[in-house]
Amino acid sequence: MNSSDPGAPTGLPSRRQFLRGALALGLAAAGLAAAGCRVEPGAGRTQTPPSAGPRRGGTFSGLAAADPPSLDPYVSGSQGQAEFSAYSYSRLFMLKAGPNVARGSLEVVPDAAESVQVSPDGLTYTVRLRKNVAFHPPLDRAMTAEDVVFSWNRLTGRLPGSTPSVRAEDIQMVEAVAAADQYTVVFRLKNPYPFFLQKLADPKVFFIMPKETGTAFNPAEKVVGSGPWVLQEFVPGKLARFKRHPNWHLGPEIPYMDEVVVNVVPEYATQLSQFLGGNLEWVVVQGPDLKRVVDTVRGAQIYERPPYPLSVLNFSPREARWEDQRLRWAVSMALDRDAMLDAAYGLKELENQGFKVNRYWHTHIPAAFSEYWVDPKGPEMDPEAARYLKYNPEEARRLVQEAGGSFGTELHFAAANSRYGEPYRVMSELIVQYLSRVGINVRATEEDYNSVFIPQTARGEFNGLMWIPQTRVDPFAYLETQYLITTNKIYGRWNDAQLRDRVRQIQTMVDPDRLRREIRGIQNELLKKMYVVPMPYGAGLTFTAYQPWVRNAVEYQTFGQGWPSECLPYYWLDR
Amino acid sequence: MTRYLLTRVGLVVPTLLGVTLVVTVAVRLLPGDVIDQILGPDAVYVNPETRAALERRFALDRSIFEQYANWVIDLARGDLGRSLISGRPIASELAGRIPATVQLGTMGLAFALAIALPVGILSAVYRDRPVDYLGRSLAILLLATPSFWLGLLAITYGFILFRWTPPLRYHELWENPGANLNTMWIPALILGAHVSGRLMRLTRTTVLEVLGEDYVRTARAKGLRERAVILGHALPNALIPVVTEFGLQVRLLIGGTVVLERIFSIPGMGNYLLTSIQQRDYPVVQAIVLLTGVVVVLSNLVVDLLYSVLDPRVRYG
Repeated sequence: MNSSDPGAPTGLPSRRQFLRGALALGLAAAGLAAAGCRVEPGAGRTQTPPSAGPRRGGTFSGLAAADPPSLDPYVSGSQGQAEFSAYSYSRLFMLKAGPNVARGSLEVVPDAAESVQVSPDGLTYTVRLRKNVAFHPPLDRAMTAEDVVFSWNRLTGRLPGSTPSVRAEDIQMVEAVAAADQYTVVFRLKNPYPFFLQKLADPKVFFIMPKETGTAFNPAEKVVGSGPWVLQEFVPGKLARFKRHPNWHLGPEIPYMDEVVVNVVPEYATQLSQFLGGNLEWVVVQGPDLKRVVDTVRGAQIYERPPYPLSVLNFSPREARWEDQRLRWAVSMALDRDAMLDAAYGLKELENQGFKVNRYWHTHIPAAFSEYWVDPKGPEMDPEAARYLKYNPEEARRLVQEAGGSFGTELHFAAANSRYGEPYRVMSELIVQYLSRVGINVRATEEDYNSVFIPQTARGEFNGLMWIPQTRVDPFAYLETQYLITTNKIYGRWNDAQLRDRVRQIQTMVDPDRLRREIRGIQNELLKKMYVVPMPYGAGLTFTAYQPWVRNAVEYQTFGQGWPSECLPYYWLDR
Repeated sequence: MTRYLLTRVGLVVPTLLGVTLVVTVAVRLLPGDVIDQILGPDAVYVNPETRAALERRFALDRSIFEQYANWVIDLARGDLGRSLISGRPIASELAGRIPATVQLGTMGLAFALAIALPVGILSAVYRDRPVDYLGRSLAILLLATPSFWLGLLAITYGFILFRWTPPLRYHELWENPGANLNTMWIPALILGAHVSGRLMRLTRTTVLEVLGEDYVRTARAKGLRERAVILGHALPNALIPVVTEFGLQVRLLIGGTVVLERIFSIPGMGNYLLTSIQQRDYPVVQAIVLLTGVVVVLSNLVVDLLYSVLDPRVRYG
């Protein structure tokens, strides 16, 4: 940075002055670096220096680890698909972002919608659309209710010749969708669903496509959405280039940046080097590399990502042994969750480097949903339930003995090359060791993700234990998929009518306070029953680093894959 | 010679059909179909009607042989089909990726030859002397060192030591030769180094064999300089097995670059093939295998023809 002060003394400084100045500058820089780059306790954010205000223009150099599976948002339900589609396609609602929004917040704000009216019984949602939502070229026309209904029919496979999207299962609660007038859409539900608006905001589920899709153009080859970014160029394996949508309905000031280039950089080491070299504006950083990032990129902004993904250890539906509650408790109590977090996410190392570290324990609800999650280490959790998450190998061993003594079993997990990453692999090895110490002698069965784990094991075809991560956009979805879907072989085996009724009751709750209370309350019961064992995978600290010149980045964050339209339009570049 | 050529070329079509048929069947016999890969862990929740609809969409409700027959018919029309996942034409996907892989493979093979031949020859000529020990150790080291590890080292320590990162975006050679070569030279060197280990050892062995032959002794007895003996008499005769091995390594042009393409963010075919196999994108796998088959069959043919150039005693009839 260059600056000149007209009042500064002229002439060269003496050697002593120079050394003193250099020392002061060095100390100041070190202090600034230390203050500016530390992860703030609890907040998980670092602050960018104040600046004059948003600046228009510039190109944001982003990244993706792979191409999206397709340009058509309804082909795949993967995270990569959802994120890519969120650049160009609008949803009716999206998650709220901004400086005062709590991390893991589920608050939604209108996207293409203008307002929504919910009937008292929670069965009818009347959505008014904005009148200024414009589709990208070559259509350049306003979005209407007809487009929304068309997209819904495309999602659910009701269009002639279409097949349901893989995510159609997620909106089974919807009975009918109809256009009441040109700008009003009515959703009629079969049963109330407490997080229906969040479901509509989920970029894995519903995007609005123009009704010309499939006739005027092939959505696999051309993207015509109405979101903040217009796709200009897509080179498979290389990049996607987006230009700001000048007529975006939440504009015209935003998006602040002119262009976003999403570079395909598959390898983590390469991503990190490119970020350190200043070629990428952001990168997801694994804990052990955080110090290197902070030391190398002066003023790097660090965002601590919420502990969002949940994973559970499942019991084989084929084996009667697991009907014995004592064994399920023993499995959970044999695991030292804090030590697993330390090993998998390098938390101790982070602490040694001076970072503030939180060790979250997921219950059957991920810790990221702070409004709904009950901290097992806190006072609100029933101590009787909390004890089943605490590391207690003696008690676990005693329970195993009571239940019939030591036995051998298997642990099925996805191979190291799966998409779950290093923490998952490390934890898999630790589970084997911890369980063996309490008399459950586990044989590790590492399975190929594509050939065995997904098509067989994840469907319940396994003996012993299996653990699998999952992500949902709302806390109720975890309860629904585990305890309400009867075709689900793994959970369906328990057939716990009382628990199912309780989850069904939660499903019908429209009062948010009651809903929150019930979801918080049911976690005690779920821990006591322990039909699946919540694992610490996903609860460790992961970080996103931004270059110092990317403004608003740490202030505008949402979880999930909707950030290209929820947050990115608010970022601006101050190089 | 012409008859031989015609026979070999005539065998190309049935060979390729056989290879693609085997691959078509094999990839479909793998557990987990394209629908499982699209659904991922959520496959457990999907109801049978949705699954059946997806099977119809991807023509998985037809027999394997019907699927294969349809693919061959389309192929005969010059249509490689569309990717099941992306829905885009496979021909255009491949057209964008072939140049990067071919360039990486070619540069890799050039580096391999540039390393292997001199070191192999020196090793043989200075047998059981320090140069030989060094050459042999180098060959073993290069054989034993995985290229992905070297690639990661180059990326990580390239930045730590020299603040070097490969260019963020890949540029085609004809677009921007400087940026292209800046991206390609390190992965090509790593690829070449790995291949050179094998070629180095082979070159040393074959040169050693021919150095004991009568015609080499005769050449020396005639008073020829050692360089002329080695390069003019020994090397051409020693090269036949090396050329064979080199021909086999041509498969690297297609598939051997998977890891390096990934590490250096090169949009080539290796990574595309790997992803397609993982996703069970059957038409893409078949198309790439077909292409690989064509390259391997043709390179074998070229190698066979080269024998007659290198050794005049070899005649085809």
